[in-house]
Amino acid sequence: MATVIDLKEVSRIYGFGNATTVALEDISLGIEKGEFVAIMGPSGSGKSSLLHIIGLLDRPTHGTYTLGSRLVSKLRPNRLAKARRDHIGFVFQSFNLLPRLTAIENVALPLAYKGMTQTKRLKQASSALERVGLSDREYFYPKALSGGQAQRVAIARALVNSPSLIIADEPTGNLDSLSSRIVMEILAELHATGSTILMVTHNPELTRYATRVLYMHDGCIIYDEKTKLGEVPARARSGGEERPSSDEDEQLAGVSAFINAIPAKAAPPRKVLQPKTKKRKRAVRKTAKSPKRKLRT
Amino acid sequence: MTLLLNSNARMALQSIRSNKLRSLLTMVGIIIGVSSVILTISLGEGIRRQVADTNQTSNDSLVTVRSGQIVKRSADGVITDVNYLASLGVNTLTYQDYEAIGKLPNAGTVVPLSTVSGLATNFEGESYPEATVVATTAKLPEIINQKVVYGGFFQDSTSSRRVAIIGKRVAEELFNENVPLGKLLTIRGHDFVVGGIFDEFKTNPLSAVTDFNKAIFISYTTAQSITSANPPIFQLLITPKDDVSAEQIAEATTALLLKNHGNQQDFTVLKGNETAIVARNTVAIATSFVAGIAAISLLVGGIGIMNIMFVNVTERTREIGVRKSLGATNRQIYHQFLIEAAVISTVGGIVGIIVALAGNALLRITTDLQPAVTWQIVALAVGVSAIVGIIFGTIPAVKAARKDPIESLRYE
Repeated sequence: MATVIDLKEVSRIYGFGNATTVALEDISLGIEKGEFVAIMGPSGSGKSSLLHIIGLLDRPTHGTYTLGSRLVSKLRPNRLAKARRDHIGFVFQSFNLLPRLTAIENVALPLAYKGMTQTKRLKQASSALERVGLSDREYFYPKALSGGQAQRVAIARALVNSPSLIIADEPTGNLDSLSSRIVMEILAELHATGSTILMVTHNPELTRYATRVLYMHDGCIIYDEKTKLGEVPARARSGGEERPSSDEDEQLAGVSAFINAIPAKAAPPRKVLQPKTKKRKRAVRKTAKSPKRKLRT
Repeated sequence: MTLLLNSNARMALQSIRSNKLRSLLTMVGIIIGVSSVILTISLGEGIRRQVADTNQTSNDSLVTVRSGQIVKRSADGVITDVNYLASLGVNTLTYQDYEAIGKLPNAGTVVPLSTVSGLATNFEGESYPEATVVATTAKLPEIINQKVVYGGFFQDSTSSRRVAIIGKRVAEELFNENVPLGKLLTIRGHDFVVGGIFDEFKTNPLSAVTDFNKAIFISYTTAQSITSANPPIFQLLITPKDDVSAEQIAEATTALLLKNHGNQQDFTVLKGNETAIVARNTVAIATSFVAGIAAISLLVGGIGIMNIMFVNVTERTREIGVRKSLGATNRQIYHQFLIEAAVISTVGGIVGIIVALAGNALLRITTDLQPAVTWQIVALAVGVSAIVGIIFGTIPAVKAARKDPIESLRYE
């Protein structure tokens, strides 16, 4: 299998001087064609920063990023935009459909930036909508669609350009369980037909669709395991949080246990914590008693 | 590129439609600007044509002398500069000037025009305040080529008698009839009999000093007797003798008046078509002055577009982020917003033209003015409004294009 994404010691640092925040620290990651990678981790662990860099919306501060065969970390903004257009499809948690355009116009948007003729665009957009089972909603405006339908339109938009990589940032985060399932089945189908998919999720159940699960913490990938389709790895159920956190009862467990628990390549404690609220506490279960494993390289 | 232009224009229209009230208010600025520019220019053009029209009927060999120095001439006698305001409120020509010019060997007919202050009232004591009393001599109809359609003009033999010849409007307004021959009117306590009614004078809004359709003509000698003075002359009309050219008599008149006025050039001698040049120049100055003010309102409209485009860009930050994530380049985002601004201002320009045409029609119906719209004016207005949109849309479009995609996607 060919490596589609190749990150080498990629770091992303925000801010200057005393106020710097390390969002990603020395991440090296290779993703092969056809993989379905789920990324898990608490808020502020760097999942989004990683997605932004892989999705060419951001550039690494240090390190190199190769997408396909081209080194993209040094590309000019214009070339980055074109690479996004031709190689990457985005699916967002909040759908991000343009409210003033109909479903089919939304789907055809990436093709418009390519300079395709209107008829060709609509034809291609129509077949993309058919793939997500929404042929009868082509001329609906986003506000007339249910959440699940809107997300399926967004997926159609992401795949209309036949990108080599689909990046989904919590695609089911705003959906009920039935809609989530439909959306995930569509992603699974795309995966089955050979697409490479990168998905951030907080729902451990969804890792059953993935072939590989990454767990992130403090800007580092702390675990990286291959899974079989249809299986939910035990670690995923625990949200990847297998190390003691800095909660009070954990501190009682003793400093030595704490030190042992820190993986070899873990990041130093951040100076500046991102002031994000932890939206999904239920996924973060305390697992101090479970056996500690070392990070696999 | 053209494909993108096309779809951008469609998106711009969509965005304008989805924000109808706001877009309309933005356009109002442009509409006012464009329509006032067109109105003033077409008004100027219309007046210019009317002036040219009235002038065709006037006598080419006619020499006109007016009070005040309203033109500057180059050494070879060509008019280089016109200042119409210099003639207002000055009466430098006198009865002595009239008599002196009449004695010039080359002068054929000399006719003075002077105003007599005072209100004219009819036999019932009603007055027509817009009427002007003009004192002149018997040769006036002949020298200005104007027919007296009813009755006749006073003759020299009757010039001391109380006969008045009136313009068409005076007949209608003061006597409420078309042919009030033989009716009485009173000027400064003296009774006059209406002896004739002039055919309608072709007028233009710049007809010197007074509209002859609203004038009451009495003989100069009568005016001298009822005012016990020599009424000041605002204009002298001179024709040369048969074998003499207008240039010669104009030169002779200038030399004579300079001598009589102590070498002061406080008068203007115009020959033949030069009166039209003066009028045209005056129209041009007035038009460009008002059009300049109108252009400022167009500028204000442009700033309105810029303001609303900034609001638009901020409001649609998330959309910009989404578009960028879908592969839109900075240039494509820039074009999207630029085209939107240009569409707003061009549509505003087109509506402005329609408003201006409606205004012109209204002016034609309600006044004597006949504004003329040429296709050049219309093309200019559309072009200018599109350019205004592009100029004032550039900065917001640049702002939109430079937005960071990640921050834009997070924007609520």
